[in-house]
Amino acid sequence: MVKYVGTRLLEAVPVLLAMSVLAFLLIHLVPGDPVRIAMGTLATDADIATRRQELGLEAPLLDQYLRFVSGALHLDFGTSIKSGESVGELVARRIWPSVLLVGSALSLSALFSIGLGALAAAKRGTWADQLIRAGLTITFVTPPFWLALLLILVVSIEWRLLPTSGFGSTFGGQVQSIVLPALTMALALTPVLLRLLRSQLIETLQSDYVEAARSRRLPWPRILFKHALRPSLGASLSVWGYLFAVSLSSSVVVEKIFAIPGLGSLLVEAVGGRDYPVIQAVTLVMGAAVVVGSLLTDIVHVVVDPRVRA
Amino acid sequence: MWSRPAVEGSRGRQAQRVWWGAALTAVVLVLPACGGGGGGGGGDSTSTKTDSGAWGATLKRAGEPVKGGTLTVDVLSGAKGISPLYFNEQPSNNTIQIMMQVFDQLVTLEPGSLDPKPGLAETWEVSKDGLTYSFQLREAQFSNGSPVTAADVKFSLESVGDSLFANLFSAVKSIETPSERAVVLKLSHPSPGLIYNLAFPGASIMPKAVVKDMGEEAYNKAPVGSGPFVVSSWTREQRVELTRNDKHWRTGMPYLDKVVLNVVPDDNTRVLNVRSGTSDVADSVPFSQIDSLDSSGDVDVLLGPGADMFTVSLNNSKPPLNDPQVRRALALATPVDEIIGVVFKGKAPAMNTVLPKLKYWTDAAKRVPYDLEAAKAALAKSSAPNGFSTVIRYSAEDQASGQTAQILQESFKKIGVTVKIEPQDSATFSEFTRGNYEIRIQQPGQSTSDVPIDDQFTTLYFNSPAIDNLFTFFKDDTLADLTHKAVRTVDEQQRADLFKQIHIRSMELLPRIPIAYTPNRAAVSAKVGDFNYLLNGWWRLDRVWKTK
Repeated sequence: MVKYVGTRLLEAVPVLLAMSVLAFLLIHLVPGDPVRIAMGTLATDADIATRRQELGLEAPLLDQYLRFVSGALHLDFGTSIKSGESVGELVARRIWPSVLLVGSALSLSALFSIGLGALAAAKRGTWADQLIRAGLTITFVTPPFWLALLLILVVSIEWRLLPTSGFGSTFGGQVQSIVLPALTMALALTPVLLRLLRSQLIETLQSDYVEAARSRRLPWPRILFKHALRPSLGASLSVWGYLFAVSLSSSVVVEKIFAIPGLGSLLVEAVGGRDYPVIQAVTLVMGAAVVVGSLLTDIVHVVVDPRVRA
Repeated sequence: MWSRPAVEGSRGRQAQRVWWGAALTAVVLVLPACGGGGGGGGGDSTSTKTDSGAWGATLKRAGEPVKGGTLTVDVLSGAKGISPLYFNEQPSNNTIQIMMQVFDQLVTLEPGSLDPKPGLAETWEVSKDGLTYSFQLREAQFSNGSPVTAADVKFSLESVGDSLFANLFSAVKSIETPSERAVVLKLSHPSPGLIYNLAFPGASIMPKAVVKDMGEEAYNKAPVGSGPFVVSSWTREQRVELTRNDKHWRTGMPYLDKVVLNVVPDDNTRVLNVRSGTSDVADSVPFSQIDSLDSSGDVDVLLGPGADMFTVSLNNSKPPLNDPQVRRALALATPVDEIIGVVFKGKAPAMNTVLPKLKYWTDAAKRVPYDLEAAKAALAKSSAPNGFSTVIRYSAEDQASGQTAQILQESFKKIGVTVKIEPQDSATFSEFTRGNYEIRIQQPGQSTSDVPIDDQFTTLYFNSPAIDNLFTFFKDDTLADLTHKAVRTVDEQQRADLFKQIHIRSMELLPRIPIAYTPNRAAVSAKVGDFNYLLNGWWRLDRVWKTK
C-alpha cells in the first residue's frame, strides 16, 4: 500500500509541473495587464511601466516562470499584484472555507446517495423509487442559485434557523454558515451519484451470491449494506473523486450567493484582475487537490472492495 | 424638497409575514437638498425619487436621532486595502467608504451642500488672486490621542500630491506650516477647484508619526485617523467593523456605536438580508427590484443622484468614428429612452451633456433626440455615406452593457451601420487604453467623478494629452483651451459660463454617446434614520442613527 501511494505521488510530480507551465503560459498569453487593472485609467503609461518593472513583469517569460517555480519550491508564492498581500497567506485563508464547503457537500451527497440509492434499488419500481428519482431529477435540473435562494427564504428567513450569508468567525459559526451552501451543492451532486449507485446495486442484487444470501434467509438490511453495497460502490466512488476536483473550482456560484470567501471565488477574482501570482498558486493548489483527491478515492476503493487491488 | 406618501402594508401571504411585520406609517421624506447646480430636469424617464441636480441625498425619518446601536451594511465587494496610502495607488470605492468614516479632510462635503464645509480646517481664507490658501486647523485629535497638526496636513497632502490623484493638486507649489495649527498652500496658478479637491477622501489627513512608525504596509491594514469611527477589525473579503471614535471633534457625533460592513456579492442575497432584518442597508440594489422593495413596507430605497455616467465610448481616432457627422448619426440612432427603460427600469435621468451631472451642469446643452430619419441624413452627409460596419465591445460580466449593445445593434442596423457584438472578459476589456477598440460600453458605476465640480472630468476628457483624453483619442483644441481657462478662472460667473460653453460644444462634437446619469441606490431598513449618499455614492455614517 505504501509503495502504491508513493508511486502515485511520484507520478503526480510531472502532472503538476505540466499544469503549472500550462497555467502560467495561458494566463500570460491572454490580453489584460494586471497593473493597468489595479491602477485604473488615471495612471499614465509611464506609471504603468514603472510598476511593471518593480513587479518584475518586464522580464522574459522564462525568467518569470523559473522565479515562480523556485519560489514555489520554498512555498513562497510571491505577493498579490492587486492587494500587495502574501499569496501564501491569501490562499491559506481562502482554502479553509472551500475545504469545509466542498467536504461537507461531498459528505452530504455521499450520505444521501447511499441512503436513498439503497432504498431506491431495494424498492425498485415502487412509488418510493419513483419519488426519489423524480425528486432528485428536480434538484438536478434546478439552477443552484435558485435552489440556494429557496433555501435561504425558507430556512433562514421563514424559520430563522441559520444565517442567510457570510462565513462565521468561530468554528461553530462556520459550520452554521456552511450548512445551506453545502446542502445546495449536495442536492446538485447527489443525483449523479445516486443514479450510478442505484443501477450498480440493482445489478449486484441480481447476482448469484445475493440470491444465495437471500436463500440463507439473512436479514435484508445486512444483505443490502454488507453484501451488495460494497461491490457496487466502484463507479460512484470514481465519480465522487472527480466531483471533489470539480467542486473545488465550481463552487463559485454558491460561494457568491452565500458570501463564502473560498478558493473558487478567489480564482475568478484573480483571473479577472490578471493577478498572475495568485492564479498560479491557486491552480497549483487545485491541481494538488485533484491529485490527492483521486489518490484518496482509489485508496478508499481498495479498502471497500479488495478485488480492485489485484 | 418633497414628501412621499406613506406606504401601507396589507399582506395576506404567510411567507411575507416575517418580512413586513408591523406596517410602517411614518412619513418618509427624501431630502435631496438644494445647493447650486441645475436642479431636476434632464430626463423624461426619471423616477420621482431621482433628483440629479443636488449634491447627495438623505433618507429622512420622522423622530429625533437615537444614540447607540450597530448599523450593518451589506456591500458588493470588499476593500483590498483600507488606508488613504493604499487608495491613492489602487483606487476603489470599497476603500473610500471606509476612509469616509475613519478620516477627516481639511474641508468636508455633506449631503445637501454643494460647497465644502469646515472639516479639520475651522476657517480658511483665499487671497484675491486665488494663489494663496490659508487654513486654520481646529483643535482635534487622532483616535490614538495625538493632536492633528500642520505637519500631519503637510505630510498627507504631499502624499496625495505624489499619487495617481496628483492632477487634483498639481496647482499646489508649496505647503507651508507657519504654526502648529496653520497651513498655507501656495499655488503656481489659480485653481478654484482646489478647495473641492481638498474634500476628496484621497486627501484624508493621516498622523505622520504613526504612519512613519508603523510603516506603510502595517498602516494600510490598521489605519489611524481623526474621523467619527475607528477600524476595530478587518477580516479581508468578509467584513470591516468600525466603532465609535470617542475622541472625534464633532460633539455628540457619531450617533452609532458600531458599524459593520459585510461583503455580500450576490444581489439577491443582499436584498433578502435587508428585507429579513439580517442587515440594515443593502448597497447597490438592482434596478429591477427597486419598486418591489419600496412597496414592501419596512424597507425604503434611497435613490440618490450620482456623479456617474453611463455612455457609449467611441474611439475618436478610428475612421469613420473620427468624423463628427458619423458620431452625430450614431447618437441620433440611439434610443436612449428605451435603453434607460430596459437597463435602469426608467430610474435614471437621460444625459444632455457628455459628462456627469456636477456643479456646472447646464440645461443650455441639448439632448440628441432619437430620430432615425435625421440619423440617415447625417450619415449621408458624412465620410461614410453608405454606412459602415463596426464592433461594440463590453465586459461580459455586465448585463447593462450587454443589453445596451443589443439595442444599439438593432437600431444602428436601421441606418445602415452593421454592428458586431463582442463581449469580453473584464481584463481583456480593460485593454482599451491601447486604443485597439472602435466602440465600447463601460459598465454603470465606473465613470464617476471624484469631485462635485466639472474640473476633473473636463480636464480628463478634453485636456489630458498624456492619457489621450482618457483613451478616447478625442482631440479638439477649442475644448482643450476652454477647459484650461475654466479650471483657472477665479470669477465664479465667468467660470460657470466657460463650463457652459464646454458642455454645449462637446454635445455638438459628441466624443461619446451620452445615455444616462447613473443614480446611487441603497435599500434601507425603516429602523435607520438619515442614511445618505454624497454625489459619488459615498456615505457619511456619522449622522446616521438607528431605532432599537
